[in-house]
Amino acid sequence: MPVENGNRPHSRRRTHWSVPFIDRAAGSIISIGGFLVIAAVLLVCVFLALVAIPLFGRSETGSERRFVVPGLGSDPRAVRVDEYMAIAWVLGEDWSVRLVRPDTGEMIDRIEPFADAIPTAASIDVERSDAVFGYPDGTIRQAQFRFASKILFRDSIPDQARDLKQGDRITADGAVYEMVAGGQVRAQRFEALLEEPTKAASSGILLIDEAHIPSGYVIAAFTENGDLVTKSVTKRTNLMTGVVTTRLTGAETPIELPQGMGNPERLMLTGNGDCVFLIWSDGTTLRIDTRDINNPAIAERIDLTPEPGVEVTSAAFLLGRSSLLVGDSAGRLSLWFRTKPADAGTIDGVILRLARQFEGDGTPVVAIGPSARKRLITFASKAGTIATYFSTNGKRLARIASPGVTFDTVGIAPKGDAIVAVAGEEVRVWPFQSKHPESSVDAMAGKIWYEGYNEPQHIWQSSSGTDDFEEKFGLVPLVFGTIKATIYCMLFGLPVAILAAIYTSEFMPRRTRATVKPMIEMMASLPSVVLGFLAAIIFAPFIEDVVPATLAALILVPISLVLGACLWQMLPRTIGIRHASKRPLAMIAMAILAIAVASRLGPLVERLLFTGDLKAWLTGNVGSPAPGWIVLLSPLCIMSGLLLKGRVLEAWARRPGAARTRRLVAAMDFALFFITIVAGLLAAYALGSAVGAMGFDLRGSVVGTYVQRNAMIVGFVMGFAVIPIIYTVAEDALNAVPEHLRAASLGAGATPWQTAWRIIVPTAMSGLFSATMIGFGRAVGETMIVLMAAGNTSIIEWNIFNGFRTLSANIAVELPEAVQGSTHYRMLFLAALVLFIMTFIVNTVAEVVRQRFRKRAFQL
Amino acid sequence: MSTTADNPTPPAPQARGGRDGLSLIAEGQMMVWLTGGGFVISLTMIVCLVGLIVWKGSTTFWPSPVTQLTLLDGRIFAGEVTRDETYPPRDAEIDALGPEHAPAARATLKEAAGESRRRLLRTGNFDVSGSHFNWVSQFQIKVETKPDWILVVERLSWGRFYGEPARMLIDGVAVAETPESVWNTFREHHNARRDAWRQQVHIERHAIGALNRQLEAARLESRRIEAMHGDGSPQHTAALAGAQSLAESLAPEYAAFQSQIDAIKAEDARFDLVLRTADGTEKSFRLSEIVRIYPANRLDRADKLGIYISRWREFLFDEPREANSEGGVFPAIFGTVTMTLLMSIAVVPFGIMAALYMREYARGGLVISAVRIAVNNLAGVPSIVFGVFGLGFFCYFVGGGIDNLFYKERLPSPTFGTGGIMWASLTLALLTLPVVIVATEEALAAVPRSMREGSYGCGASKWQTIWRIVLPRAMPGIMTGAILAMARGAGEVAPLMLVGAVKLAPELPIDGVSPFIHPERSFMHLGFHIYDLGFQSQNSEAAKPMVFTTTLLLILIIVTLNLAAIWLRARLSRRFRASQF
Repeated sequence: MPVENGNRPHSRRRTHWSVPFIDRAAGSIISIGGFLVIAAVLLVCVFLALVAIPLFGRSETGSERRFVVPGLGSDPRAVRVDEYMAIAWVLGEDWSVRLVRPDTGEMIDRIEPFADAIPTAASIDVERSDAVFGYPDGTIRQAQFRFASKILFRDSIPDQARDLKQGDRITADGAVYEMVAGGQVRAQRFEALLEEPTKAASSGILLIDEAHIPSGYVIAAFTENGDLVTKSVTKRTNLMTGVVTTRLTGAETPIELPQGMGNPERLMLTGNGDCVFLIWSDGTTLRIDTRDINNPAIAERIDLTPEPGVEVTSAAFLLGRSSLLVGDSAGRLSLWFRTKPADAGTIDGVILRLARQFEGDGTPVVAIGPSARKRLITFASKAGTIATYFSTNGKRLARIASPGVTFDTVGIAPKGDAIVAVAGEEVRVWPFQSKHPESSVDAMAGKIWYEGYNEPQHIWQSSSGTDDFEEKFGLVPLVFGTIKATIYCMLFGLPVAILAAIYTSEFMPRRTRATVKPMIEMMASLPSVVLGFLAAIIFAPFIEDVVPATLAALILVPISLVLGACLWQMLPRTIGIRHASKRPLAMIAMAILAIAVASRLGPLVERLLFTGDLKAWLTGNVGSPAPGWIVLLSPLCIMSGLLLKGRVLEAWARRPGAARTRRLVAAMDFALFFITIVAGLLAAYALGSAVGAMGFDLRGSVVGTYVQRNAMIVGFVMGFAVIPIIYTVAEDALNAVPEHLRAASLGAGATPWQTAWRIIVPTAMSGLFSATMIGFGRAVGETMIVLMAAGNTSIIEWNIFNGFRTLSANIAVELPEAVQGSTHYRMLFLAALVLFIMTFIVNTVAEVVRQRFRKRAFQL
Repeated sequence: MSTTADNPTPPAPQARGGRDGLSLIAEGQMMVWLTGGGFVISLTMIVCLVGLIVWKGSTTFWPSPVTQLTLLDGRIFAGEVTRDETYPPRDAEIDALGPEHAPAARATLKEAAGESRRRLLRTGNFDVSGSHFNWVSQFQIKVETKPDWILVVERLSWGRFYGEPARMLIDGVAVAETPESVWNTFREHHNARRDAWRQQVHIERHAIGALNRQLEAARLESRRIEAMHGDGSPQHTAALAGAQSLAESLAPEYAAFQSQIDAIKAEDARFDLVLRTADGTEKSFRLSEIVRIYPANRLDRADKLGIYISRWREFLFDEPREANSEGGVFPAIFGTVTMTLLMSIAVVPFGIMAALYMREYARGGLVISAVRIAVNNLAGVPSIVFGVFGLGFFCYFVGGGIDNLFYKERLPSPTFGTGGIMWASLTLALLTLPVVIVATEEALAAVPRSMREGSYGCGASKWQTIWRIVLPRAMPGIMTGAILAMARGAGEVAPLMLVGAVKLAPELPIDGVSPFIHPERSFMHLGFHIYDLGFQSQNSEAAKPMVFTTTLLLILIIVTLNLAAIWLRARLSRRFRASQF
C-alpha cells in the first residue's frame, strides 16, 4: 500500500481492536503450544528415567520396636512371623511357644507342644510349615508349625471384631482379627500340630533334618551311635477309620567320621533329599550323596572355613534348600553353591563351591535368618549388628547396629517387610522395605553367579516355567545383541548405500536421478514389519537351503562388477561414452551373472572344502579349520590385490600408459585383473591353510552353528531398511557440494571419477559421516525386523549364523506381560532408556557434524 | 565429459589420436562400476521385494485347481498345490514305500541325480483328517487326477474342505444324488440361508447386544452408587432393585429375539449338504456355515475372476474368521485409518505451532539451537521407546488417573488404563512430531523474507502476516510433512504392540452405539495383523496367503500416501510459484 495514503488525515483509520488482541492471543497461544511440544519431547526422556530410578533406590529400615516376652529364657531357639505381620511365634529355651503381636508386643497365647517329652534334636523349616523333632529314644515326631488364616464373612465374625475399621486388628482367644476390604474379617492363628512318635533309629537322635519332596518326606538324622539315618516317610490314611499310619523305610548307615573328630555339630538335608551335609565346628564338612536312600555314600569332603582358626558358628539353607549359607567366627557369611562342572570327579557329579561372601561387623555370625520367599538373607553378629543382603548380587539392604546385644535368633518376614530378632527375653522388630533388591548396577552390567550355574555369567532371563525360578536381569546380553545387529547390518548396508549415493550424485544423468531417487527414498517408508515378515518367512528358510551359494554370491558380485568394468574398458571409446548412461543395465547383467555362477560354485566349494556339508562343518563336527580361513581370506586377499593394483601398478603404469593405445591398456588391465584374482585366491589358500594349521579356528567366534533365523539374515534385511536413510542423507550431502567446485575440477581436466573421489567426497565427508551415524541410530532401535528374524535368544556370541536378542525386541516381547511397577517392568523401562541414550549419542554426534558440514559447505 | 590426460608434462601430440591409455586409467572405470554396483543392488532389491509382494499378494486369491493324488500306500489326498519344489529324499522315505516300489523309485531318483519333486498339498478337511497340509513326494504317487466335481468349501470354522458332492438333504430326505443336481439344488438355497445367517448374527450382535448394554449400564450404576453411599444403603438397594426390574422388563424382548434366532436355526437345520472326501468319508454341512463354495476344476476364466473378486471383496469389507487366517481385514483397515487420522489431528496443529514458535516467535539463539537438536534427535529415537513411554505415561499414568476419577465402578477392569486407540494415536503423534516440525520449519524458512517485510510494510500485524501470507505459502511443505507423518504412522507397529493394537477387536472404535466414538477401545491394525498372522498363528501355512495380501494392502496405503505427498508438493508449489512476484 502506498505510504502517502497514511499522511492524509481523512483516510487514517484506527486499527480495529480485534487486530492487536488476536495478534497477542495468537502469539501467546503459539508460544504456549510450542513450548508444550518441546516440553513433551523432554518428558519422554524424563518419564523413562523416573520409572527406572526406583531400581536404584535404597532399602529402608524403619524405627525399632522392642518388647519383652517373659519366660523365653536366656536362649530362645527360633522366631517366625506370618505374612501379614499379625503373629510372631518364639520357641523359648524351655521348648514352649509364645505367640506375640509383632506390631504391639501384646502376648496372644502360650503353647506347650512338648509338655510330655523334650526333644534332643529339632528342625523347623523356614519355607514350609514342616518341622521334625528327634528324641533320645530314637523316635521322631513330625510336626506342622503353621499359621492358619481364614476369611470370615458377615455372619461368622465374632462380636469383638464387628466394629473394626479397615486395617484395625484385635486379639481374641488366641487369634488376631483384622478387618480387610469388603467388610470381611481375617482371622489369623498359629497351630503347632505334633504327630505321634515313630521309631526311626536304634539309638538317641542328636541331629535331625527333614525335606518335603513330592512323594512325601525324607528324614536324615545323626545318632549317638554315630550312624546316619536316612529314611523316607510314607503316610497312608485308612479310608474306613481315618487313622494315619506312618511308615519309615531307609537305612541306618555307620559313617566313618574324619580322624580325631567328635560328632558333627550340624546336619543339613537338601530340599529334594538328595544330599546331606555333616558339618563340624572347624569347618570340616562331609557331603553325603543320598539319592539312593538305602545306600548313602560320602561324595565329598571339604573345609568350609579354609583359614586356620576360623570356625563355623552357624549354618542355614538359602531359599530353595539347595545352597548352603555358612556363618563363621571371622564374621563372614559364605554362600556355597552345588555346581555341576563337567570335571567334577565326585560320585554324583556335584562339587560345592564358594560363590559369594557377605560381611557382617567382624564378630562371629551367631544367627542366620533366610527369607521364606525371596533370596534375602539376614544374619546377626555377636556384637549386635544385623545385616541384610540380597544373596544373588550381594547388595546390602540393611545394617542395624544394636551394640552390646547378642541376638539368639533372627528372622525375616515372609514378604520381606520386617526383620525380627530375639535376644534373651527381648524381641525387637524393624519394619523393612526392600526396593527392587534384584537390581543393582553389578547385576545389570557385570557377571553374576546365579544359583544353578557353574560360574558367573551375563544373563537376561525374565521368566520361566518353574516356581523356584530366579529372575536374571543382566542387560549385557541385550546390549550385545543390539550392537551385533547394528554391526552386521552396517557391514552390508553402509557400503552399498554410500556407493549408491556417490553413483547417483556423480555419474547419473540428472533426469534419471530425479526418478530414481524418490524410488529409493520410498523404500524408507516401507514398514519394517513387512521387511521382518519377509525376512523370517521367506528369506530365512530360502537362504537356509542355499547357504554356500549365498556366501559365494557375496564374494562374486563385487568381483563380477570389476570384471564388468574391465570388459567395458575394452569397448571402443566412442561407444563407451555414448552409452555411459546404460551402464546400470550392464551392471545388473553382471550381478545376475555372478549370482548364477555363485549358485553353481557354492555347492562345488562346499563339496571341495567343507566335506560336502557346510552346516556340519560350521557346527564343528567335521573338517579342519583351514577352509573357513580360506573362504574368509579370499575376498580380503582379492580386495587388497585390487587395491595394490590400483595404487601401485597403475601409478607405475602411468607414464608407459600414456604412450600405449587405449585398447592395449584395457587389455593389459583385463589380464592384470585375472592375475590379481588368481593371485588373491592362491594367497588366501596359502594363508588360510597356514592359519588353520596353526590351530586357530573361526568356528566358535564369528562363525558357528547355523540357525535359521540369524544375524546374516537380519544384517541383509536391516541393511535394506537403513540403506534408504543413509542414501538420502549422503546423496544430499554430495549434492550440497557447490557446483563450482565440480565445474572447476572438470574444467581443469579431471575425469568425473577423479572429481568425485578427490574433490566431492572429501568435501562432503562430514555429511557422509553424519549419514552413517543416522543409519546407526536407526539400526540400533529397529524393532520389528529383529523381533521377527533374529530368533530372540539372549546369547553373547559373535557367530553370524546365530541369533541374538536386542534391547528393542526384548521390550516388545516382554513389556506387555510385565506387571506394572515390578522390577521387571522398571528394568524394561531402563532398557528403553539405555536405547534412548544410545541413539541420543549417535544422533547428537551426527547432528553436530552435519551442522559443521553445512557451515563449511556454505563457506566454499 | 573431459577425458584429457592430467599429466603435467604433455605427451607427444599424437596421444590424442589413440595413444591415450592414460586417460583410461584416470577414468577409474572399476570404481565407477563399484559405486554403480551399490546403486544397482539397492534398486534391484527394492524392485524384487515390491515385485514379490505384489505378485504373491495379488495372486493368492485366484482359485487354483484341485489335484487328487493316490499314493502307493493307498492314501488319497485331494487339495490345492501350495508349494512345488525339489529336494534330496532320505533313504528311510524310500524304504517306507516297501520292497515292491522302492527299487523303481530309487532308479528314478538316480536319473534325477538324487533329487525328487515334492508338493505341499493343502488338503484341508481338518475336522476329518486332523491336518491342514500334506507333503507328497513324486515317487509316492500312483495316480494323479483332477476330479471333475470336486468342490472347494470355505466355511466358518475348521479351515477349507475339499470333497465331491454326495447328496443334498432337505428335511432328512435326499432330494439330489448326482453331483450336478446336488450342486444346482445347493445353489438354489444357499444364498437364502446365508442371508438368514447374516440376519441372525445381526440380531445377536446388535439387538441382543443393545439389551446387554442396558443391563451392564444398570449394573455399573449400582456399583457406582454402592461406592458412593455404601453397601446396603437405601440408595444402593434402590439401584439394585432398579437393575433387577430392568432385567425383568427386558426379558420378554430378549425372549422374542431368541425365538427369532431359534426360528432361523430351525429353518437352517432342514438343509444338509453332504460331501464325500477323496478317501470316501462323508461329511454333512449346514448351508449357513458355507461362506464360499466352488467346483475348482470346472471353472472357466470368468468364474475364476468372479471368485477372485468376491474374495477381495470379503477381504476388504468383512471381518476375519478362523483366528484371522481367513475372511477379511475390515476392522484392521478401519483401525489403521482411524488411528492415523486421530494421530494427524493431534500432530499437525501442535507440529505447526511448535515450528511457528521456533521460527517466528522464539528469541535467543542458544535455546533455539538446543531445541532444534532435541527435535532432530527425537526423529532418531527408536519407535519402541515411544511405545514404552506411551504405555507408562498415557496408558498407566494418565489412563489410570482417568479411571480412578471417572470410571471407578468398572475397576479393577481398566477402561482408559490400558491400551486404546486414543493412546496409540497420541503415542504415534509424539513419534511423528519431528517429521511435521522439520517439514513445517523448512517450509516457513522457504517463504521469502521480502514477502513478510512487504506485509509488515502494509501495516499488517504479525499474526495477520503469518495467517495470510506465510502460512498459505508454506502450506505445500506443511501438507507434505503431514502426509509423510501419516505414512510413517500407518506403517509403525512396534509401539502399537504396547499401546493398544490387538489380535482381534470386532468392536470398532467408531460405531453406531452412543457415544459413537470410543477412544478407549483397543483396535486392530494392518501392520500388527501381519506380525500376528505370520508369527502367532496356529496354522501359519494357511495364514501365509492372508499375510501377503495384508502386506500388499498396507504397502499400497503407504505408497499412496507417499505419492500423494509428492504430487501435492509438486502441484501446490507450482501454483504458488506462478503467483509469486
